[in-house]
Amino acid sequence: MRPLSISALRRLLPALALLTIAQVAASVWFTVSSDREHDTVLELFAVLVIGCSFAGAGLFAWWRRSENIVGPLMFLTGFFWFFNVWVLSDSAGIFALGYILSSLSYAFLIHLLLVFPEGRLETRLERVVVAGGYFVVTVLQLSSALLIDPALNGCEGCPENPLLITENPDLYDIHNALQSVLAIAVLTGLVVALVRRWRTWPQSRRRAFAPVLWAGGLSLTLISLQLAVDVLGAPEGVRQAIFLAALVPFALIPFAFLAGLLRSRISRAEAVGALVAGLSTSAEGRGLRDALAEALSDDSVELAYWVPETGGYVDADGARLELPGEGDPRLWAEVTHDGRRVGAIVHAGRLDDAAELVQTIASAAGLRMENERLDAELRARLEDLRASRARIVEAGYRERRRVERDLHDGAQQRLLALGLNLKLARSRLEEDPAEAGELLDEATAELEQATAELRELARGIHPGLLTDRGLVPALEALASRAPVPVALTAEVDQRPAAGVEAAAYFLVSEALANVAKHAEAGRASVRVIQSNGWLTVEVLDDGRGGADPDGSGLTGLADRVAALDGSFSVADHDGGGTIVRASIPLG
Amino acid sequence: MRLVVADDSVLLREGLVRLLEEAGFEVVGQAGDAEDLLRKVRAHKPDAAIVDVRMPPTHTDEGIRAAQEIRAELPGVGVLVLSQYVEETYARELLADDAAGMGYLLKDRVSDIDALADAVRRVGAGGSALDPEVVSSMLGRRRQEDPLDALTPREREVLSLMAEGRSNRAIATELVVTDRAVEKHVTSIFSKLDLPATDEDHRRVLAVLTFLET
Repeated sequence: MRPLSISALRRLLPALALLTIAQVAASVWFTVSSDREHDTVLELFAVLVIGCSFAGAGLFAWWRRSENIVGPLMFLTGFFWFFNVWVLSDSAGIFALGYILSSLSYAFLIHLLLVFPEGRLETRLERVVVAGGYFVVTVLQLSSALLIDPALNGCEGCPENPLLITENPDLYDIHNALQSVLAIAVLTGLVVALVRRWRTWPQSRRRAFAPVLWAGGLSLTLISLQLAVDVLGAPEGVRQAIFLAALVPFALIPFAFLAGLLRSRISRAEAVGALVAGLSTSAEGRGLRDALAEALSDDSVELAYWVPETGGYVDADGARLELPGEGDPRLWAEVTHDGRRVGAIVHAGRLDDAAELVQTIASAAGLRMENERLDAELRARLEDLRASRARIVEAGYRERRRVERDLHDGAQQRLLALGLNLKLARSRLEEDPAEAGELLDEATAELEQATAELRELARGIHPGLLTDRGLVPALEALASRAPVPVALTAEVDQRPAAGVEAAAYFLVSEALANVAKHAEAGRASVRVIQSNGWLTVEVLDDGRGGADPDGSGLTGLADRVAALDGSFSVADHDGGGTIVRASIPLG
Repeated sequence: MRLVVADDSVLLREGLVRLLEEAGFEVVGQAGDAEDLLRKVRAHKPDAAIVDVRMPPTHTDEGIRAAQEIRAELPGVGVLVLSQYVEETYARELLADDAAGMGYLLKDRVSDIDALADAVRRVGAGGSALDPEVVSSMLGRRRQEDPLDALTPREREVLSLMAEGRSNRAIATELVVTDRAVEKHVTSIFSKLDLPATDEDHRRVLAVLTFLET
């Protein structure tokens, strides 16, 4: 229900109060002026006490919780209750109106019971029960009004029914039986729906609903008792006494609703208190979420922790999390601590005041959430680290396999051939010295090839110059061997740690290899700058760009850099081509 | 020609000494590290020292540093540095200021005793020796608007051999052409690359190195 503005309420509620007073006056008048035999005091007492309590409490609830449909429903229940005495009127028209309108109260009451306290129907059953209730008291009551002849139904002095279309008592009886069966079905559904609701409710919510149950249960018991003594034929005085006794708790029902409505707030305030108290002792990571789920009676509550580095949210396990966006029925509230964003509470937004409550809780939970956020951030980093470490280990094994293969296919084969040639030469030495000489020449050539291959292999594993002279000379050598012209700019005052040098070197090496393989570039430039405790390496080419940052070579680079707490990026740059950039802390 | 040989690998050092002695050199001292080398060089004042780059204690570039110390202390002693890898950086450090009596070769060259003996003799006589691999890497470096593109293939060959520190005669023998033809190529190269002409081999090396460095 869309809440009315305060000014609209200021006009509407007094008007409704005046209308109720007019209704009271009319009801009193119709009762007092009736010529029929009835107990004026008893009827008036019953109608006025129940009608006024519902209508008055309804208006109050409407005023206090204007966004909640509970107030209007209570008011309508009470207001239409008064029509019960309109049937006493001697006027046929008033009688018919009273007959039709008085039963509406029951439908409003059923609706009220099922939406309390959050003001919303939730299950299909609940919606069916409410719709059934309205059907019975509108369509069926109206058609019943067309068929009932009061004189034939135990009302001696009643006026003639002006709506009567046919005087057929059987038809009325059939209709009446149908209406009763439907009403019983609706009431049964109501009980089932209420029991189901009760079961799913947390303790705090049950407490809010308890006064209604006590009042309702007591009056229902008394009404059943009255029906029982009715059947047993007890004296009129007893019957009336029980009826009057039943009226008291029934009249208390609206106040019980009111109490529940207000108490649900108080108990939630207590829940916030308990939440905060519980959080200060609970060490469990899940504690906050569970406490929130309990406080909000919402099992779907999720906590999202803000990770400033990535500008996104993660859950408690460090996995990425998206906040509900447009069109998502769920809501979220930001949680801050000391003015910094620490996370968000994602909730179903079922309760009307959930958003407000979540805000209260969010400010109470800020510190705790900040701690959990740091935890989650750490876990996210650990998760990244674990994956990156696995990739580094895997890359290490891959590299070993490559070295093994290179050694096996290259130098080892050449040395074997060399050995064979030497043996052959030895055997030919005497009978054919010329051939032996040729074989020795071949052997020498194989040997040269083998040493050259071993040299290249060793350089690829770790360039000697990098160890001996450091990053810049090693990069100069790398640039001079590159298949495209490379302009190297280096501003490095002192040698970084060996790990940093190696990471920077292999980054440039891999990036230049990629330039040669994929970029279709005419030239490249390498910039290495040391400043403010960071070593920044940039490799830029003028090729076609579009490098895939998830390519295995680039992931390997990113991992190497990440292992040193550095940052790594690959992007197309404005002038076309690719720019690979890494910044590594010099520690 | 009297030599001191320094290499921490006894096997290689012994082999090298044997080869050099067979080739007619007199090895007056052997050293296993840079300190030992300097002591023996100071004591024997050989014509040349043959020095491995990697030696104890750090196994990085002791040989290069030792070569520079010898150069500074005893300019008359030629130094031929042998390295498992050839790096332009080292070539520049050793030869760029003054290529006289300085050589830098890949260790593999020891298997070609003639080439090795030739390099040792050049360095011992105050000339230079630069490994063909360093030269080809320098020549092969990609440049924007490369002036080397103006050279004919034959001129490139001559330039390479010059950079290695060979004399005109040696170049002529290597390419099987007359001395006169080599001289013509050299003049042409120097004018195309806009280098100052010089006859001394090690100055030519320096000029070519300087050019290739820029």
